[in-house]
Amino acid sequence: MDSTQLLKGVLDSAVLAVIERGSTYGYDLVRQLRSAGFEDVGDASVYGTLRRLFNGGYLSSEIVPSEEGPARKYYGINGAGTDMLERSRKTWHEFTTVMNSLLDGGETE
Amino acid sequence: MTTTLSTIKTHYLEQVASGLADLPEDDREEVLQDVSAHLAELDENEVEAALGSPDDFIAEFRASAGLDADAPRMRKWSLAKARARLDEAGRRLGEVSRWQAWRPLWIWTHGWLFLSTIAVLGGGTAFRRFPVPAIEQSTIVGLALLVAATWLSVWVDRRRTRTREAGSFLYSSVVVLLLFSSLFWPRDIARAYPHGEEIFYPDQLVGPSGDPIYNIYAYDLDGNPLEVLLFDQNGRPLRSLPTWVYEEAEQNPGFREPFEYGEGAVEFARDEFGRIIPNLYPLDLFQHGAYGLEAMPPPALGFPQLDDVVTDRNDEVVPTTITPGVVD
Repeated sequence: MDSTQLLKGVLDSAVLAVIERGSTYGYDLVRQLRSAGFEDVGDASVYGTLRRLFNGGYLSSEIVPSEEGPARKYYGINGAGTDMLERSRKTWHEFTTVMNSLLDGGETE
Repeated sequence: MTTTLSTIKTHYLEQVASGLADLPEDDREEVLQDVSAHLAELDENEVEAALGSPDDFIAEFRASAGLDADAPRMRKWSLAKARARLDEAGRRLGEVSRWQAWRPLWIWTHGWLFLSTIAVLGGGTAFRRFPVPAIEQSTIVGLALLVAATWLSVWVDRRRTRTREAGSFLYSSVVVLLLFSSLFWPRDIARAYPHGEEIFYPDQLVGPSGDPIYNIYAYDLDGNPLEVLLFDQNGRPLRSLPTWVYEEAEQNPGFREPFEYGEGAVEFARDEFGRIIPNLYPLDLFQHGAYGLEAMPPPALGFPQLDDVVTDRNDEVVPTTITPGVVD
């Protein structure tokens, strides 16, 4: 199944979850998402999501010089981001419970 | 081939930048910073394989960032895009010259247009000489004002950059309007050469030191004043006053009074049909005096004195030079 559309719906939560583990920069974030299983996620989608979350006030950023190239912007999660992630977790668990029940042949009424 | 590879990445980044030209500059710079760091992690030949084409990258970025998918790459031309390209050109010019903070040509142009705007708003007669303006005959004053205007334009530009969206369109429109209208201003530019309290018109006759020649006095070899019709080498009547004076006088064939212009006035000789004879010299010129218009007298030095060194073809002595201090 093409998971691209599903992925778009959860990318915000996935990005916040990765950053919650520790501040990171764009390229590394993409790498972590890929290694977590989001192999189809587009790099541009990640950067677009980062920008939207940052502008929405859910992330902080810090420029860190790099010896290997241009300075990297590290993104960290702030209070608003943590609250959003918690709400997403709750919604996700409720949603997956319902979906698991449906898909595994449970009662529909 | 580091240079070639670097060019590929730079080109990619520039294309992304142009696709995000509608974003606030700070936002765009932050995105480009991310993409630039990402590009640094990639081999040159895997840029498009990893990130997709610039168009795809931009479309995907805009969709996930919640931006309008239609702007600005879908439009063939937009002010924002043009401005972004212009800014980018200025930035690259600064990089090339390693004088990034003072992109000389761009900033100088800003200053010149800024001063030009002020001059136009102030009546349009104070300035427009190129490339260094002269205010009240003084290039130094003009240069000082240009430097001040340049500094001011940089200051305004920086403030505009911070609060860019509000005034951006208006500012760009004014700059473009000035650039275009300056192309159609040759007559105005010519009229705007300053000369003391008056405006100096380059279509007038000019003396060796650049001062205008308003009138011409002719004498025969015996020192008698003459009335003469003067023409140039192409047979065109010589005219020593601003062109518009002749034009307006021609449009008023019945006008027999001294025609006032600027600091003085002129009463043209006219033919039997009332048409002016523009090149009959000396002109009847007038200047403002204590009791109104007063006729301007002939030159104080009078008729030229004889110079016994110079002779004509018949070896006769002819008057050629004025001896200072000798009055006819």
